[in-house]
Amino acid sequence: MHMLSLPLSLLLLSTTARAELVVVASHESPISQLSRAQLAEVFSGRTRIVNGHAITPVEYENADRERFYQQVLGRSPSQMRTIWAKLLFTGDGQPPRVFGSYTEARSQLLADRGLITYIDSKQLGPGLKVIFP
Amino acid sequence: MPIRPLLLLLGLLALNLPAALAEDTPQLHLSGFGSLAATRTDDPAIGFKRNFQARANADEWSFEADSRLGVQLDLQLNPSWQGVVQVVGMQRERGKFQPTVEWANLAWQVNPNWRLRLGRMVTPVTSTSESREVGYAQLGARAPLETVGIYPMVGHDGADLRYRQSLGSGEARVQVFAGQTAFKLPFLEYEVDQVAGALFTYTLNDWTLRYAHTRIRDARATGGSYLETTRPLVAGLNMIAPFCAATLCSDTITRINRLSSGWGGHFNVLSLGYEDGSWSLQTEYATRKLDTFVSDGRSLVALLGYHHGELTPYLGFSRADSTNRQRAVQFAVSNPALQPTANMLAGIVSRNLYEPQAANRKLYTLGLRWDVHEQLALKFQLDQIRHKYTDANYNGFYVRQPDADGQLRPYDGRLRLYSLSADFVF
Repeated sequence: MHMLSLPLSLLLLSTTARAELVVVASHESPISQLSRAQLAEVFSGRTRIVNGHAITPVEYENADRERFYQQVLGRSPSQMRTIWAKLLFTGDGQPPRVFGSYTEARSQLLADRGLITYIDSKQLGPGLKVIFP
Repeated sequence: MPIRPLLLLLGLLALNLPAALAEDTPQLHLSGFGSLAATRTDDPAIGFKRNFQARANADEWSFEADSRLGVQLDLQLNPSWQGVVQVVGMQRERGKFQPTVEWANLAWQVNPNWRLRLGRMVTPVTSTSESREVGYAQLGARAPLETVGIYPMVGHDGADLRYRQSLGSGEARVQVFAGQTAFKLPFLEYEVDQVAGALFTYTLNDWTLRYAHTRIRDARATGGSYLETTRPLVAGLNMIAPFCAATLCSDTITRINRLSSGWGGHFNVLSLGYEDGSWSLQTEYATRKLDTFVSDGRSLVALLGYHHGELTPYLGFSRADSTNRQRAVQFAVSNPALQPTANMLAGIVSRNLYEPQAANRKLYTLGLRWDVHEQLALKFQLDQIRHKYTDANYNGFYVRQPDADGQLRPYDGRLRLYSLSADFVF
């Protein structure tokens, strides 16, 4: 039983394992590190300033939203939508802007050091730095 | 929009906006929200409605109390300037579905710390005042009426300045606002010359602490059937006023006269909220103190939810107390010949002005929110209500119903309110 289940587990791992989700910003961003709690505050719109620096979260089409909300922010997608509905309809802010692709989001991040987003660590390229984890 | 905020708005536009507009392409965004919601009380003696609505329904399913539709147009002029117009339609003071402009303002994000808004805004008296019509944004079937309802108006036309800054590991926000407003109830219309207040919010990790202080001054009843029906009463009261032999008599008459001549008051609301991936907690304590015959009040709300996937069961407790208008008044006068008249007038004041405010109550809430779709949440809620004074002729949210003879139907003070709603955003 054990002999059979170990290779099977490895096989499953190799097909389902994904690279780590990381939060990135322009390498010129004054933010060097954000905690999980700070990210939850920023992405839920309750905080837009961390350590005196303005931060604006953005997203892009086909971002791994559900995994990010669940694993990093510790919120369900429906919780996040409820929070954003309150922000939007009380004039208190907008949900994260969604760009058409990661390429577009990345170029925006490089141009604006206040923007942050989340990516698969394999997508990390020049000009960006990891601020979480 | 009143003239003063409009002038301010024009001044601000002249100051900076044309230059800002020249740099960016404005973006329009249309969105909305709504609720298809049915409510039912289990007792023909008590109907349920919102305080500004004309019709209450008792012991039968009705879509009239909580159903509404909101449409919002956002105009992003550039990263610093944003305009918003939000119109919400629902049953209002005439008993018909009517749209009202809830928000219509221009916001200038001066820098990440400072924001200035001019125009129409919902007054942020409680933590759910501003989102109270957005059913999708509420955990329960509706924003807690016990605290939201402590403020008799909704919004104001004016200005709003907010400052946000890191404080410790969290973020502090200070907001001040001022303006004026008008408001309509089924039987009374108000104009309020001064609405002003300040609120402080501190968010730290999953916690939010909030304190808001709101003041109104020079609120005057300007129309409505209530003014007409109370006119003879007020004339009678003013006749006996010079002969009042006790403070209660003269003070009550002065307060009743302020309904037309101008009244004011203040509201304090302390809130503590918590939200993580599993738990959601809303607690709020609110007080009001007014210098007219409308009662001072205090209320408390606590709502706890547990997120389990797309299901969020919740339970809550709330209570609302009218603190000084639930007992009958007596007028002692120095002229014995006037005492029978004073007694009669005191009886009318007690029955018609004071008793309708004595809806002191406790609510126990049990409900389930089910996020069936990205833009749709279904809610099932049961409120078990205990009214303290069973003989009073309540008005407001819970309304005593007459029988065929016009007499109040007997009520044992125990009521259940069932709510089913489909709350959506688009």
